[in-house]
Amino acid sequence: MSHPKPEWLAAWADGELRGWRRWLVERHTQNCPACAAECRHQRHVRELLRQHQRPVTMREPPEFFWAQVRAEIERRETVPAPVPADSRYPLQLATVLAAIIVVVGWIWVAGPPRQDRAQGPVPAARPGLAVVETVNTPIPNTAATVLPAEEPHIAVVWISGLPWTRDMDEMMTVYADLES
Amino acid sequence: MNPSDNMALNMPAPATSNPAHERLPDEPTDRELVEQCQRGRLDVYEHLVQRYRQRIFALAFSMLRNEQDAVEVAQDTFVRAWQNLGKFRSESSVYTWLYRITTNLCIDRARRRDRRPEVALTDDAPEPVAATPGPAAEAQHRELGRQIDAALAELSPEHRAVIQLREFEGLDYAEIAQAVGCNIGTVMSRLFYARKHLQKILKETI
Repeated sequence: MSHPKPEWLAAWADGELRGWRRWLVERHTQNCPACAAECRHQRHVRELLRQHQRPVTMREPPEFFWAQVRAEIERRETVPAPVPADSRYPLQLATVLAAIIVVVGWIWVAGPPRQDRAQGPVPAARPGLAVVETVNTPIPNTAATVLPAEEPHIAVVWISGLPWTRDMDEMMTVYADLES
Repeated sequence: MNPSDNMALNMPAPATSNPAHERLPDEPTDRELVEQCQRGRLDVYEHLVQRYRQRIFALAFSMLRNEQDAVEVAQDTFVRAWQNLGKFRSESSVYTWLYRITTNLCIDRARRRDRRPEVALTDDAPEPVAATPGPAAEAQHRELGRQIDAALAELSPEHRAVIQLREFEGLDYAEIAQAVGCNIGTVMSRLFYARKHLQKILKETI
């Protein structure tokens, strides 16, 4: 025989069980002496507690109690409310995050130059001194600066980022697209 | 002037002489008092405090088993209730809301006390007034009451709270669940095991 949950027996003894659970416990206790005895014990302890309850009474006079409550309320209302514990942690977290952002930013700006920076847009030169553009080639990490030349049909191009080689033919072959 | 202010101004003095602090027919309801208090009427709040002072103390004492701690928790309960009256909504009754604050404060205090083993847990209940006739019956009654008290002291504060609210305050399971901040299933379980434990301790007696 499967027994109902033991706490249902207490609830049933208290008249607090509703619906199918009540029906189940009522039906079960009619045929199960153990559960019926448990219900009786629950009722017995309940009655014992109610009969022997000690009506504890606060010894402080009501006026004194109220005066203390009132004084504490007024004291707390004059003191600035402390920062709630919940909001202290986000403040600390925000401080740490801000510090991390500053440090990372500083490293990014003042750190050693990286090769891939040449891929980004190159700052524009002052007008008349140079025209700067990014070379559109499959060669990674290169940038070109077109410098003004004395002859109008000649363009002087300074390419940075190319690997060093002594063989100019090889360079012309490998980076032939540069001619365009 | 707001009509409801008149009601507050014409209220009788707080019922400090009423030992049970039950609401008399001519007294304002909890909700009326709360509405006044939410407008900042600290003088009206005294009525609410006097109405529930003893019950809050009894609940705190049943959980903490120490009179001084119970008084402090009762005071703190009413201070916090005043500070949070603006958040009180009428979905729950005032007393379950106050009980909720009290149980939370008691559990916090009991945990702090458990971490301080040097502080003795004194069960110094104010002596109740005996109501049984005859010296022999009175002695027997008092002895049984002492045993029940000792048995109750062995329960956890959470279990004592549900016993107090059910057996002595007469709350139903739904109200107890609201007051202690748990579901009805937990209330059932705590009541069952608390009584079971008491039955085990008081086996010879009962």
